Amino acid sequence: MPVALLMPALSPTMTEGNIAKWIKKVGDKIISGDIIAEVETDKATMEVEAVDEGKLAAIIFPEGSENVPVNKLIGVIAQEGETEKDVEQFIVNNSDININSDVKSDKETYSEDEKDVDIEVEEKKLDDKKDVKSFAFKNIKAETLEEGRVFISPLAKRIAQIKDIDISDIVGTGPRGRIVKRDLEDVNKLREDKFTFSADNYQNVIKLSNVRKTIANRLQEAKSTIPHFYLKGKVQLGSLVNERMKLNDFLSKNNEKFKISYNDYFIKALALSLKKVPSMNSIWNNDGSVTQFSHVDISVAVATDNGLFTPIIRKSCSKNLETISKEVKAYAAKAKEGKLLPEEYTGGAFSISNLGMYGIEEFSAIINPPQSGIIAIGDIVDDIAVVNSEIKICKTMTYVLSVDHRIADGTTAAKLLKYFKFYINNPSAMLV
Amino acid sequence: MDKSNIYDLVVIGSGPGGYVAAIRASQLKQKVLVIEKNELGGVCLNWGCIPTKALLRSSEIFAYNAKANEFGIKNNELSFSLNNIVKRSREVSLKLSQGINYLFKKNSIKVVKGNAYIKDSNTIIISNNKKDELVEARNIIIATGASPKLPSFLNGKEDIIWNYKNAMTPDKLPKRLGIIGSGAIGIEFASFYNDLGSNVSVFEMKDRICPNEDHDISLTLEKMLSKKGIKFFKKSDVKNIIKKDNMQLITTENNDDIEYTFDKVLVAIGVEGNTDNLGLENTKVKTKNKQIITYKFGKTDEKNIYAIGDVAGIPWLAHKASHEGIKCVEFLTNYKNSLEEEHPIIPSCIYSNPQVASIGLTEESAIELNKNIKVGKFPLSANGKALALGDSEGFVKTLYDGNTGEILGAHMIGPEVTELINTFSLAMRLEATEADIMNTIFPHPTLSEAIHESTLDAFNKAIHI
Repeated sequence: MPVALLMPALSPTMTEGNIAKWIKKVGDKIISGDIIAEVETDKATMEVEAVDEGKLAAIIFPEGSENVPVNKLIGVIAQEGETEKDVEQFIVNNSDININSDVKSDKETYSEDEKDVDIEVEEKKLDDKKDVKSFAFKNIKAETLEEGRVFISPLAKRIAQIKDIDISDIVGTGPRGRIVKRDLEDVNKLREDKFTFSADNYQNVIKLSNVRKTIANRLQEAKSTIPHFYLKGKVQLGSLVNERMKLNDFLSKNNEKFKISYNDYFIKALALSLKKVPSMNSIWNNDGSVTQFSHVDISVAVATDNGLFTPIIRKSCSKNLETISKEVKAYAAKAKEGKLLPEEYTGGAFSISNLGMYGIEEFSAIINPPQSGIIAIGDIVDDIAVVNSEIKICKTMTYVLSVDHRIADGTTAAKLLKYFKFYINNPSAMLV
Repeated sequence: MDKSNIYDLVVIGSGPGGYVAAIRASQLKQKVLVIEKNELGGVCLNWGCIPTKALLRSSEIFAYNAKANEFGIKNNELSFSLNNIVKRSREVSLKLSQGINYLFKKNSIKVVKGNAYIKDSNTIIISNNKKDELVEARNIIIATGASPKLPSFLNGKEDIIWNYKNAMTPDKLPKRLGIIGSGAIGIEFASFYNDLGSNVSVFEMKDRICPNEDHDISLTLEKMLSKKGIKFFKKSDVKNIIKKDNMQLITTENNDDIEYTFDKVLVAIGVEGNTDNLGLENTKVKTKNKQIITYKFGKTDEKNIYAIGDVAGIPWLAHKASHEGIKCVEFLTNYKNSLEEEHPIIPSCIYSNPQVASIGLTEESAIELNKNIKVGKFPLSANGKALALGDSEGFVKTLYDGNTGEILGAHMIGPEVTELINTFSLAMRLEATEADIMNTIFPHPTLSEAIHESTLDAFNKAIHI
């Protein structure tokens, strides 16, 4: 029997994916371990590996297909001796698999040549539901019957087809919620308003990648549902600067290829602080409960061209600066290639984000749900400070902590920052 | 104030805007008062749409009888009585006006005859011969209509010319009739008097007659009416009208002053809103060029005062006034099921012989709007029913959006086309496309088949041409 190639679930949260690339073509021989295709998930591009052997007999979803549900048949591998007929039969037998119906790559346009072509959208016969009594006219969603009929004027239907507008989401303002032309004009206007900055401006409508969509959805949700509060502090880095210089001098004298960055110190300081204030090392559950962790796993924000990733330094308390430094570098490189594995970015109770290298002095970050907080690290700048009743110029860093108020109150969060500041002021304490 | 003098709604004017608004308001449980200074039904019923149609029916029957021979009928002693024609027309108007009275009674709408003067946004003084009466209104709809506009050179000597009322009630057929203005009113009277035998000349300032119509309609109408004997003077700026023994009409054409002599001169250069002596100065209602400035649903700048119909601006059409009346009342009574409609598609008709009917964009305006258009045209000479009627001049022209198949406009000229245009009113309202018209079965043989063929022609599929 032919073997089904299904859209893999590459992470527990993945419900659909895009076919980024077919590495193998129809007819290509497949041996176990071959990379057959690349699938773009909500976080990364992943390779689909062959488990079975045979020949790639059919591709159901072509390259570029979007939002293919997990476990949907995307291709078929035929084994030795199996004919095209067997493959066809196999596809037909998987009747729940709706071949290509979601993937219309060729947009239908209306032109004179096609004027005889019936371009009606699927429209099944209406039951004898002549409910003349219900006069719900205004601002109701187009009435849809079980058969899936959407009430829409012939002209609106044609315009929707030409402009590729999904009518199922449109609120009709015609009689009994019927979709009419002006309803589509609103859709078009919305689209245009979004991307037009001035009348003669160059317009570029950018289709969002899955990664971008996920970021958009998650942040939208986070910023609108999590009651954030913010605590800001400043710390002089005098001791840390000296400590780091000595350490890096020592490393280079011993021919070590790596250097410890300020950020590595900040991660370590945050980890140790969270250990001291365990109630902050927790996540918010949607049922209203809070889960507190014993290990401190810290998400480190990494910016890439494809969006923001947050690989996790697990058990960061027990890791020394060298390990933390090396892990961050490795994850950052992987994130930039879009090759982070789901287990490498799922989890964590707290995040750290650093925009210091871009010259940002301070900023407030949005919490990465369901985590309890995120600390935003600003640039290290020369600032005036009063030390022992004397005005001095010191290396100073500003940080802003964003906290989910459902999980912690201001005093708890302040306690966390007290420890954080202590460790920065006393780097040797991090060795304990 | 006496409670019986307090109303939910006072409608000033009982024309097709006012009486329809009043009836709808009554249906929606409003206590309604209508104030009318003349006849119930306004200009439309008494001095406009209806009586002119009655007159034109007479001239049409006369014209058909004049060519009875063509139909194999001998009718050698054909004549008419102008008095009886006018009498019939007045009777039709009277009957309808009485009908309005009946409708008001049926809907428990109180009517007071008199002049309405708005004292403040909630108080109206009604004055008539008997006494002044004060009424209080929660809402007011101004539906006072419009009156003929006259050129300034006629100031103080309005009596020497004919207005439409005079033209509707002639005691004698003018031998030579001059008509200034080639809009619907001018053309209808030109057609009526020409069919009865007057020598008719029409003066138009623009370079074509019925300048608001599609240019194809203007050209064909001029050709057909000229053939019947009507003379047209286009690009004619009428400078003066003098009364000596006869009427002297002086125009300037191509920088030359020319004098024409007529027995009667009808001035039909448009109308202006009846905004005077209404007490608008006591309210926040704003006017511009004798037109009340209105917003959606007939709203004015005064919160509880609305204006509909001719007094609220063009197009000056009875059916537009009625439509606005209903929308306005449904809005001010918060009627939930009223359909919002920003730009209603308003058909317009001219009842001359031949008739003209149109809706939507003209070809020129569609091109101006940069529309990718498809134009179809079907001559009635290829329509079986028109040939059988012996009335096969004219055409149906249709305009479609080349991208979407949207119906942009339709323009018709010929017999009974005023009864055909509603096909497009409905189709456009329902947002039909060319495919819907093409897939509609039109009965054979009818003039309506020309609609089908014209649509097919726009997409190069016409069968009979």
